[in-house]
Amino acid sequence: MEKFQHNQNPILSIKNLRTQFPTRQGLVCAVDGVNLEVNRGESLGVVGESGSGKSVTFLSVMGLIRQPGKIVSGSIIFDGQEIIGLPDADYRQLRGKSIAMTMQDALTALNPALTVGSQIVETILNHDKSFFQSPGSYRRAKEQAIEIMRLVSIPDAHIRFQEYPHQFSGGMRQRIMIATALACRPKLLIADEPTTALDVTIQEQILDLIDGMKKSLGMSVVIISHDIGVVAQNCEKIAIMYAGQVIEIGPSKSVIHKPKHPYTSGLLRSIPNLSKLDQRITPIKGNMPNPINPPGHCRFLERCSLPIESCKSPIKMYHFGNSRSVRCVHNGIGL
Amino acid sequence: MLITRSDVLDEGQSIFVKNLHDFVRDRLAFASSLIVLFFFLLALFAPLIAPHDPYDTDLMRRLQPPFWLDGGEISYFLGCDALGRDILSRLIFGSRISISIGLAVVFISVSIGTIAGLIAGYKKGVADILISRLCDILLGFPYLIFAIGLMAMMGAGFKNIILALAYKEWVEPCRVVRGETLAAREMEYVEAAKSLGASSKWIMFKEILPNILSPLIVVSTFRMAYVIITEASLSFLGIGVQPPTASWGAMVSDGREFIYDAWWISTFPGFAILILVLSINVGSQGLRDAFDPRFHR
Repeated sequence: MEKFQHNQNPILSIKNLRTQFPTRQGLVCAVDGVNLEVNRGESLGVVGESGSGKSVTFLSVMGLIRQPGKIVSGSIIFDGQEIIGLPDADYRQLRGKSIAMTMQDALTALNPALTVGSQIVETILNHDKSFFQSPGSYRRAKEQAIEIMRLVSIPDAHIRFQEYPHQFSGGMRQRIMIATALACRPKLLIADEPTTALDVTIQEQILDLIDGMKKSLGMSVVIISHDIGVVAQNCEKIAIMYAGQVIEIGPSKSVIHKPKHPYTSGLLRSIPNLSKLDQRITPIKGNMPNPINPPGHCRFLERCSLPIESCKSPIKMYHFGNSRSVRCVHNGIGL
Repeated sequence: MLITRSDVLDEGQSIFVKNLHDFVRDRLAFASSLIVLFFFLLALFAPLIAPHDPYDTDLMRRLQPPFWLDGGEISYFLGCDALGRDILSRLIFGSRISISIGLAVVFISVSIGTIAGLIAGYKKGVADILISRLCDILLGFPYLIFAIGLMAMMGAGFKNIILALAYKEWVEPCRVVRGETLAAREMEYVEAAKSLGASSKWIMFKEILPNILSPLIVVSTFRMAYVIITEASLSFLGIGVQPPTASWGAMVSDGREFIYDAWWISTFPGFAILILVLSINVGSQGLRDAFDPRFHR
């Protein structure tokens, strides 16, 4: 049943999205023609280094691009509805209730002056208008909030409800943030760097938690990360971004085992491997191209191990069977 | 188990409670706040505490000195004024005027200033320009002259003093709130609230306001001292609270003609103003040290 719906009606579909930020040096094209799809009940991992445009892509989805930055062209269809240019009030209804996003840093993304419980309760009250119609609405919202805190495995939820964010450890804070995001049972959860600054064991717990929530609430998940290992384990689909473009996309297993883009294979080779301690990891040399007036040719050309003459013209996306695509003329041959 | 807690604060203790502890530990500030509390209680229970009716004139006791001077009486502790009214009772009743005007003006001006400051700081743009320029214009007038002008237009009276002072007094809290809001609006928790569908009103009052409460409390107490002095000045000049109402400023003014013969008429209300204002200032400095993170050592 679930499977049947899958490919016909994606929950989120980003087409040819371009988001630009004017600066004194020139126009920065942070997102430059991104195409992504998230199916219902599916998890997508978005990987890229700092400045590759992964966060900006999803801030565009949330409608939270700061002035003077703006979405120049493209379309974002969420649940069958075009959401670019949606009026502010309608967008607010969407945020939190249908799409929720957790921010990069759980320490600063929780309000230090409010108890964690009240932050969850407020999100519930903010969206559920029926709460205002009956007395005791706060009490019911509180019960619901404690329920959600239990759901994200916070021990003694009814006690910790009244505590402040500084009284929580990093992993617990991340859980609280996920709890606030899940408070209204959104259809799509966007987790921006959910495991950064957490140690490895806690990372695993948080990722398991997100995965469990995805299954039990039947939502779709986008995990944004710079760590390809984190994403590979927990997402069905993986998209690699580089300099504002998606350069490779496909099912996680297939991308990890047979990368088709030199950048992806470079990323994989730069992960330290404990079973081969004597082997040095190979970093990718160089930096990303200047985001102002990016080169017309392949954006990875300067750092690529296999440059050829045809790399000097604009590269299009090549599509393969089993839903893999890559932005490289080599198509994975020679890697 | 996973639970590890930050050791900086005790369990279940909010930042506010911790700051309150810091404040109580600051002895001078704490003593000052007790003095302020004492004045508040005087004002509240004036009819019970005052030994005589403050408006009861008795020409037999005209210019009667305090009890420790020749001709003084213990029941008229601080002596009597030119109409034979008991100075101590008038001081006690006068505290009602100073404190009620101080509280009313601070309450009105902080309410207006907070809303204006939040809007200016959060919305920026046109709203900010309008509010900030209005503040600049009002700051361009000397405070007392501005109040005198307004009082001359509206006429003297209790309500008019409050209005005349509040017209300008909201500027200070507004500027503080605006500045704090400008910093707070860039914090990630504001962005997180937005991503969960919070409206601007929600973000201003429920996310930002709780975070800027400490500087706001501090500036409010500081301004209270200023308002009390200004009220006393207006009453001294005769355009404040009208006689026979007992007001400290008016009492100082009453004693002017007799300053060589009966110094006690002006001196005691002068002292009362000094002690109350000084206590409020020292107390709020302690509050600032305890509550404003920038002053944490």
